[in-house]
Amino acid sequence: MSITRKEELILLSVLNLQENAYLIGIHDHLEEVTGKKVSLTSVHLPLSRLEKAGLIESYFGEATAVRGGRRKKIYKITKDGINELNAHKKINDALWGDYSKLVSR
Amino acid sequence: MIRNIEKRTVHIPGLGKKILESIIPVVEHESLLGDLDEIYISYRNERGPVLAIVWLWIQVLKFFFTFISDIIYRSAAMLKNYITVSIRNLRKNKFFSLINVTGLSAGIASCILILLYVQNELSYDSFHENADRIYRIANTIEMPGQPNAEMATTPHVVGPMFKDEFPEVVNYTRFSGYRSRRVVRYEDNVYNEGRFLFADSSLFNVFSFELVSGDERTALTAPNSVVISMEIAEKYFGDEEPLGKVLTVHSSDQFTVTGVIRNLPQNSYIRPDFIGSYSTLGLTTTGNTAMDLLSNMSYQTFCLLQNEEAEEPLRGKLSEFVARNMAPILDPLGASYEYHLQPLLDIHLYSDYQYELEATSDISYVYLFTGIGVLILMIACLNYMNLSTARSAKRAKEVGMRKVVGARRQHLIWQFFGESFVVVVISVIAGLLIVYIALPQFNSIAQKQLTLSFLSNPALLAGTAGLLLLITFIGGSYPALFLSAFRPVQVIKGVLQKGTKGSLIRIVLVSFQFTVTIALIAGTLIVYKQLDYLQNKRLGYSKDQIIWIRLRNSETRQNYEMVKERLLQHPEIIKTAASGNLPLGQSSDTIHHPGGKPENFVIHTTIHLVDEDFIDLYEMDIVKGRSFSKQFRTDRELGAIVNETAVKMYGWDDNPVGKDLEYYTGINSKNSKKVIGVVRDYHFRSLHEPISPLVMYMSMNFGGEDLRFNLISAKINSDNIPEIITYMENLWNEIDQEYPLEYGFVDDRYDSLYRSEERLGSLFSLFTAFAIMIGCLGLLGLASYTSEQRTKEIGIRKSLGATTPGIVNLLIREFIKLVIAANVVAWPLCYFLMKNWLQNFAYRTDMGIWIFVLSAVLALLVGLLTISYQSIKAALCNPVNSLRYE
Repeated sequence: MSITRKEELILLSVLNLQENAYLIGIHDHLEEVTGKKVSLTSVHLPLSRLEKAGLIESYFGEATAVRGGRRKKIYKITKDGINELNAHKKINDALWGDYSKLVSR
Repeated sequence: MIRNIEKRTVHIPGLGKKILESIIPVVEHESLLGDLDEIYISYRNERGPVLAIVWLWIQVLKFFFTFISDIIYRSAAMLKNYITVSIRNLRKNKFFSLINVTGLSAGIASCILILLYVQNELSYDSFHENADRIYRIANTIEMPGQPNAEMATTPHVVGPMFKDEFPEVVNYTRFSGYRSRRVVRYEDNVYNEGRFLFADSSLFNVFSFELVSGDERTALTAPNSVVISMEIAEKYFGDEEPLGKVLTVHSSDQFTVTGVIRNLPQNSYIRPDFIGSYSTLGLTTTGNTAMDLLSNMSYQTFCLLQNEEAEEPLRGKLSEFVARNMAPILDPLGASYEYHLQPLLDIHLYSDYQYELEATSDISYVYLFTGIGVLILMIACLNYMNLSTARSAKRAKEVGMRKVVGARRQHLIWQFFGESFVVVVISVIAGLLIVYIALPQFNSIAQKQLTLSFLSNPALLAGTAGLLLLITFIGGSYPALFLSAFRPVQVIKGVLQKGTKGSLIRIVLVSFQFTVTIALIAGTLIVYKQLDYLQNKRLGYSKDQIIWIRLRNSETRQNYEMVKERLLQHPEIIKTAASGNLPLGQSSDTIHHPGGKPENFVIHTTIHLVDEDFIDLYEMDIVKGRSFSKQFRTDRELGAIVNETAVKMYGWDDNPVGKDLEYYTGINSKNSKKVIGVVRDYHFRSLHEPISPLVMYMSMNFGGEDLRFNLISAKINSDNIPEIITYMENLWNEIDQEYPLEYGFVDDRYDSLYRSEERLGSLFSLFTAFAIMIGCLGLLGLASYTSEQRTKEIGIRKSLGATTPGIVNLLIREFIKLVIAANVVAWPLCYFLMKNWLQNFAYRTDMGIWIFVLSAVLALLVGLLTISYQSIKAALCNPVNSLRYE
C-alpha cells in the first residue's frame, strides 16, 4: 500500500505521541505542528483506513471522568507501519539528502 | 465510582449520539464518543455551553456527511468500474455480444408479444362495471337419437320470465343476433352493414356502454329508434349532428338515431355498430308458456344478478323451472332441456355454443401461447447462460487476477451481475424496438388491436421489469456464483481451464433447446397439415370458381329465372342456379317425420332450398333415384332429395326413393313431400362437426310463409374475374335500382370457417421461427467457442495426418448425438399435445410419423448449417498458425 502525505503525517504522529496517540491527541498534535485548523473527521477517516490496511493497530486506554467514563482508543504503529515509514524515509532522505548543503551555498 | 461519573457527564445529545452510532463502526462507539466529550468539555470551559453545543452538532453533521460521501464515492467508483469492465468485455467479444443481445432481444420480443396477446384474451368484457354479475342464459336440448343442440340463444320470453320468477335476477337485456347484412342508407351514403342488432332499453343499465349523446333512459324505448357507434356516426353524417337523423334500412324501414355510443374496444364480446330498439321487433307471446319457452330461440339473454353469490342459488332453481314450465312439450318427445348460466367474463374463452355473436376463442390457446412464451424465454436465457459458461474459462483468469489484487467474492458477484444487467438492458431496449416495429403485422395476424403503451398498461411495465430482473439473474448467476468462488491459485495455474461441470450443463442446455425446437416445428407442421386437409378434403361438392349474388327485393326474387338467364348470356358464365342458401352457411331446419315410422319418431333435419340446377352446378352426386328436373312438374311441390346420413338416421333400410317425408311447418302443422333421390353426403357445415341429416326441397312453407330463393350461384369458366364482376354490376343496375350488388366467392366463405385455425397456424409458425432463430444463435456461439477452444487440438491432429472431413466430423458428432437424444423427448410430448388439439375436429388428418421425422431432420439441418461454418473454418485452418506460438 502506498500512503498519502496526510496518512504519512498521521502515522508519524502516532509514533511520536506514544500513549497519547488517540483521536484528539493526534488531532491536536497535527494542529500544533502544521499551525492550521484540522477537522476531526479528516483525522478519523485516514486513521480507520490505516488500521484496515494494518499499518496501525489500536487498544483501549483508561476511562476518565472528563470523557463520560468512556475509554480512549489508542493507536500504535505496527511493524508494517514502521516498514512503510522506513520506505518513505528512504525516499525522502534520498531526495532531501544534500538539501542544506545546496541551499546554504 | 465510574458509574456515578458517567451519569453526571453524559454530554452528547441523544439524537446526535444515535446518528453517530449508526454511522460509525461499533468498536469505535466508545472511544469516539469519548473523544467528542473530551473536546466538548474543554470547549465549554473556554467559550460557554451554547457554542459548545453548536460545535458538537457541527461535528455530528461533519461525521455524517463524511460517511455519506465516502459511501457514494466508493460505490460510484465501483459502479463506474463495473460498467467500464462490462462495456470493455462486450466490445472485446463483439461476436458473442452480438449473439447474446440478438438472441435475448428476440426472446424478450416474443415474450412481450405473447404477454400482450394473452393479456388481451384474458381481458375480454372486463371493462363492464358489472362484469362479474352479468350472466348469459344458454341452453341445451337433448332429443333421443340426435346430437345435442347447444345454443347460446334462447327465446325472447326467457329474460322477462326470469326477472319475474327469480329475485336473484335484478335486470336483463336481450340481443337479437346480427343475422344477415343490412343495407343502410342516409341520403347518398349507402353501405352494407353486418353489425346491426336489436337490444332492450335496459342495455345501458346492465352493460357499461357509454353514451356520448342521447339519453340512456329513452334511447332504446321507442320502436324504430337506433343507437349507433361514433365510427358509424362519422361514416354516415360526417360532422353533422347525428341525433334525430333518419336512417333507411332495407329501402323501407326507417330508424331515427337516438344516441351515439363510444366505439367499443376490440376485447368486447358484444360489438355492434347499430343497436336498434327491441320494441321494433314487435315480438309477441302465444300465451302457451311451454311453447313460448321452446320456440323462436334466437335471442341472447343476459341477466344482471343481485350479487356474485346469487349465482349458486339461481342455478339450483333452473331445473325446477324447466320441469314446471316445459313438461307439456318435452315429455311426449322424451326430450330433456337444460339452462346454463355463463358468466360474461367466461364467454370469450370458455363458450363454444351455436349462434355466438362473435367467434369465441379457447382458453387452451392462452395456455398454449403462455407455454410457448415460457419455453422461448427459457431457450433465450439458457443460451445466454450457456455462452457465459462456455467462456468461463477465459474469465476465470480475470477472476483470479481480481482476487489476487484484493477483490472479495461479493465484489465479483456484483461485477458479473452488473455485466449481465448491462447486456440485458440493451436487449430489453432492442426487444421493445422489435415489438414496436412488429406490432402492426402481429395485430393483423392475430386480429387484435394491441398497443405497446407502458403508461396505460401496468402489467406490461411489471412484465418487462420482471423479464429484465429474471434474465439478469439467470444469465448472471452462473458466472456470478460459480466463477466468483474460484481459488486464485488454481485458476491462474490453469487447473480449471476445462471444467467438466460446464460441459454437462452445456449438453443439457443444447438438448433442451432442440427438444423445444423439434416440438415446435412438428406442432406447426401438424397445424398446417390439418389446415391443408380442411382445404382439400373431398367435401362432396365443388366450391371453386363459383360466385354468389344475393337477391334483395321481392321483385328480383320473383324473377330469379330471368336473372339466371341474363347471367348466362355472358360467355364465361357457364352455369347458374338459384337457392335459399349456399352448400355451406346458414340454412333452415325443422323436425321431420319419415314415412313408415311410428308417429312420434321425429328427426331434426337441415333443409336446403334449391332449384333444379343447384345439384348439377355444385357437382353433387346422386347415388339413388334422380335429381330435381323441370320435366317432372310435381318436383317443385312434392319432390325431396335426402342425404345418405338422413337415410341412415330415418331407418330406411330398403330403397328410400318414393317414401313419404313430412316436415313440421309450425308446432302442429305439417307438410308432406315424396323422396325422389338420395344425394351423396356433403359437408354443409364446418369440418369441426360431423355430417347430420339433410333434405333438399324446391319449395317450402314455414310458419305460414313461402320461402323464396334469395341467392344465385354462377359457375364461371375464366380467370378474368374483374370483367365478370363488371358485367354483373351493369346487369344489376338494370334489374335492381334499390340495392347495390352484393356478391362473394363460395370458396372464400369456406375459408372463413377456419380463420381461427389459420391464425393459430400463423402465430405458431411466427413463434417457431423466433425459437429456431434464438436456438441457432446459441448454437453458433457454442460452435465458434468449441472450435476456438480446440484450435490447438485440431492443429495437432492435422499435423499428425487427420483429414478435413475427419475433423469436421469430430466437431459435429457430439452435436448430432444431442439432437437425436432431443427427439426422444420431443416426439411424445408433441404427439400428445397435438392429438388433443385435433380432437376439436370431427374430420382430421392423421399425424403420421413422417412429420416427426421431418421436424427432426429440419432441426438437424438448421443446426448443422449453423455449426458447420465454424467447424469447417476450424478444420481448414492451417496447423502452422494454430501451433506457432507454442
